[in-house]
Amino acid sequence: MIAYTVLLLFCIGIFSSIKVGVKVDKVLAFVTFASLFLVFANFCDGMLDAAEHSFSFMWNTSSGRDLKFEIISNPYNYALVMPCFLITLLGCLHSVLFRAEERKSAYSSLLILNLTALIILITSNNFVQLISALFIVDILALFMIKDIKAAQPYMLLNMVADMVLFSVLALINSRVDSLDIKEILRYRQIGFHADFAALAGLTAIFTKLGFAVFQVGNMALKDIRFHRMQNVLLLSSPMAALILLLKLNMLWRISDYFNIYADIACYVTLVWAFIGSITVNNFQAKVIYWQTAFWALMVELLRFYGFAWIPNFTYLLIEMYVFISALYLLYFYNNRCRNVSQMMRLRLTHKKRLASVAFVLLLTAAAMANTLTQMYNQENYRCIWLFAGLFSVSTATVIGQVFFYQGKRYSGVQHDISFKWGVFLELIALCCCLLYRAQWKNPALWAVPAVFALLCACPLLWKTAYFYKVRYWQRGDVLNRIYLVIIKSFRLCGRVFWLLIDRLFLDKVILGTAVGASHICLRTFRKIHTKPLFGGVVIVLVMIGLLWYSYLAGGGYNG
Amino acid sequence: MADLLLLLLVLPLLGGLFVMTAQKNENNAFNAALFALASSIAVVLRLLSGVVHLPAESGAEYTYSWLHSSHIELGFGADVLSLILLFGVYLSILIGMIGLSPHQRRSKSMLLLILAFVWNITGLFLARDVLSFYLFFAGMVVPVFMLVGLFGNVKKGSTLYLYFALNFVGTLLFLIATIVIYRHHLGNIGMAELAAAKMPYRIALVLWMAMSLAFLSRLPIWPCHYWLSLVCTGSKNPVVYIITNLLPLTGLLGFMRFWEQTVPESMDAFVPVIDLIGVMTMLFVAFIGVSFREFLPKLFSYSAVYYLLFLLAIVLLPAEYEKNVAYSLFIFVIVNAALTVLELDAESAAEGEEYTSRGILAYMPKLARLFTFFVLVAVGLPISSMFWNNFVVISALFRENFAIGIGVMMAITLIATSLAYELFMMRNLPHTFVTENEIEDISEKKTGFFLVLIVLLFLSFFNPLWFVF
Repeated sequence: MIAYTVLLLFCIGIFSSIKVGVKVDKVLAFVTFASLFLVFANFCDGMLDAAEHSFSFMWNTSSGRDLKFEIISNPYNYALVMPCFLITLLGCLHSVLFRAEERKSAYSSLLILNLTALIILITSNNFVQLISALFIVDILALFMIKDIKAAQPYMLLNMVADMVLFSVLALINSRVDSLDIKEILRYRQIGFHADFAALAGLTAIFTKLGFAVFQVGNMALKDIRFHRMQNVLLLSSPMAALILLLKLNMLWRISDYFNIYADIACYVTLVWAFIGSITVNNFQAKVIYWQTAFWALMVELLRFYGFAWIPNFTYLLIEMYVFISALYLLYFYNNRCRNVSQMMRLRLTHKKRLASVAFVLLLTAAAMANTLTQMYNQENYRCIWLFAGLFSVSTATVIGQVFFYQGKRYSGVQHDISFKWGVFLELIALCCCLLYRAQWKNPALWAVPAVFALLCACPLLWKTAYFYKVRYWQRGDVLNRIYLVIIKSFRLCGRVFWLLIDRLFLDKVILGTAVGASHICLRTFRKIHTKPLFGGVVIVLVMIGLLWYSYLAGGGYNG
Repeated sequence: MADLLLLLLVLPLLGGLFVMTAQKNENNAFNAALFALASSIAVVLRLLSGVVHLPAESGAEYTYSWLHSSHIELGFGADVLSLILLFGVYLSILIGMIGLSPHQRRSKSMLLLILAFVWNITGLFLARDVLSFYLFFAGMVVPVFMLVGLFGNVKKGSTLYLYFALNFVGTLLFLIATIVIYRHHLGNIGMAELAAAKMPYRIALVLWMAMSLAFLSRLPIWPCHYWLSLVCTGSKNPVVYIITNLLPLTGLLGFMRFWEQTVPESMDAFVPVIDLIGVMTMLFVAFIGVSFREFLPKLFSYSAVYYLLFLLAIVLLPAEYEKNVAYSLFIFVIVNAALTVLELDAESAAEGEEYTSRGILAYMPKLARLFTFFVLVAVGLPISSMFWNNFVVISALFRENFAIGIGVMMAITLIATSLAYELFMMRNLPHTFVTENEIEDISEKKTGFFLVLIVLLFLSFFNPLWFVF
């Protein structure tokens, strides 16, 4: 049962977050990984005979309606949990193998707790549990990023997206008067502001996935540690968004504009990611662009498959993880140098390492080609071709530049960086597992790696390194700057409102008039007391006024 | 059990007596005030546990009559709603008192005024008839005015007088409403009986207008928000800020108690005016909150937005949602108070350093963790019962009016993002803010106290009344 897995994961997560000394920490990180592996084995065992089970308890009954916490085990949920679990497991393994964290066990704990939240999200059946798990994933992302500057745009953008989703779910709940996700069907029949709900929700999902126009949140991750960025991109908010896309698919389909909106968003993102990935100098930024392009492909493919989660999606996710891990090796062997312009000509000093990374990349290309050809059909061929083309060209350009192009080497490069046998073997093993099911006669299996290798060696593509020297271009994605403009415009609006309405109108006009009037009254009363003639005239006038009023009140002339 | 209501009213007065007679050493008077507040909390919890288990047919409330005469009969009552809010108010004042500096704690007159406010607000929440409600509604203006004037650091005297004038006018309007009711019924009347009272249209109109304006004068609705903001944000004293910020709660309570009873059906045409001004003010205040660079004005904007959300919920939604509003309000007042104290602590730590308190949390890890938690609760993340209850309330607002729902969500998103942004700025160490002085982090005692609050808030996520046995 998945509930059992959740409980175990939660316990392991809490256990591994215990603060210990440096030496014990290494042991604890290994123990955490081992126990996670055992839970994974248990999970796989459960997956084989996955019958429908439900674990639930009453979460909150205080508000006149029952709010249930539910963990539903069924083959679909098992299949959806599988890639998240596997990637988390690999993340914990990397945490053990690399010396990237001061507290490895604490980081593993974060990954495990994040997985727990993702499973709660996957298995939820009601809006409140869904949105709660989403918020928890976002909060955990804050800890995973561990960099205030990078976390700021990422969290703010995700928070706005979460608020939009909150509003959409509240709107649906207001119509169907039920928290059950299946009730979206009934909302479809009622159709109250359905287009708004679908498109606003979809925009929130795209924001969380970091699609074009909304990429500023994910792009901010380019300055954090590589492995943290990798795990946030694949396991945190974007993954949660993908799960939401699947779970609320009935909602998106309500709108007639859904297909065209998704098409435009995905294709624009693919093209934008391609341009960004070949022109930006920061290596991590390139990885983020590739990951964004990958999410765009996933969204399109899921749409064409009617939001059914088939095993090929799991393979694609794992292949992407392997691909980024290979890039991480490249980055690691370059002494964690972030600029591609300084990484160039790796072949001069790191031949063995270069060969290992190239080998993994070719195997990954073959595995991806195999999966994509299996998914290829008359409906989605455009999207697959576009992704495969742009992705191959951009990755080959960068890999070619790093391996062969003559550029300035990073001055702090070390020649004695140890060869990471553990990670290398792990990636090879994963690629072999992914290729095991391949049909060897499939020409794409051989053609794609060959084309990829040829593109890597194409000097024409290396010329794009010219952009690395253009300072204006490297200052940041143009759309990134929109984020700052929006914040500034909101501030400006607030300031103008405050000045015009509060300070000028309320303070100066209304208050000024009131104070002025009170001063006139005071002055008049003072004059009445000090100047007898003026006082006498005023009193007589007041008396006449009162007499006139009493005359009118008594009926006037008619009375 | 009903006698406990009397005890609840007497406790702040007794505390005041002890404060007055306390010897002039450092903490005697403060401890007496703290003890009075703590015992009030204990009594409220005892009452709450009794009321929760009362059968629904009995109205689920205790009543206590304390004055009998031919025309005036004054009584008190307590239901879950009033007790939970009272608990929240006591806790937030307690948080404010914990946040007082050693120097501020020595002021007997401030402690006396705090207890006077506590007494008034207790009476207001327990009042079950119009006259009692009026007495406490008007009575609390004096201690608040004196607290703000003496200890509130209000820079402009005219602001203070106008703030007082606004509250005074509100009180006068409520007095007119009370007199109208008295004249019409030849006596005082219970709030529950007001619904059954038949009134001519003109009288109902005067009554409704007077009451609504009286309650609105206490709320941060445009244009009243301006004076409230000037008085609140200038204060460097946590208790004064918290008490001033609790005053809108009395306006909300007025709407809760009287709205259903006094609004004649023919007045329905006026309701959209309140809705419209409410939503517009929410958006307006949220935008202003974004424009400020300091945390306290942002916090004020946040509280204004939420008070108006609750106002809309009370005015627009059926009575069955009052419980959701009360649970949400309970968390809201506590979080507001906690954030005020923590922010003022951070500000005082940054005093004497360069520039503002931005980046200060990087030097104060314990305070930073506490602060982060409370901000996350405030922005509505699922860490307390506010999340779920807000979801219910906003859903219902969407049901009533789509445009209002959208406006409310926009304002909440704007102000929540603004608070989160400021949190990041306070945690992010700018290059300009580098200090070699050792900045003292929050004390162990305070940390312990706030950790207890965190447990209280977090467990409320599963059951808002988990502390009632």
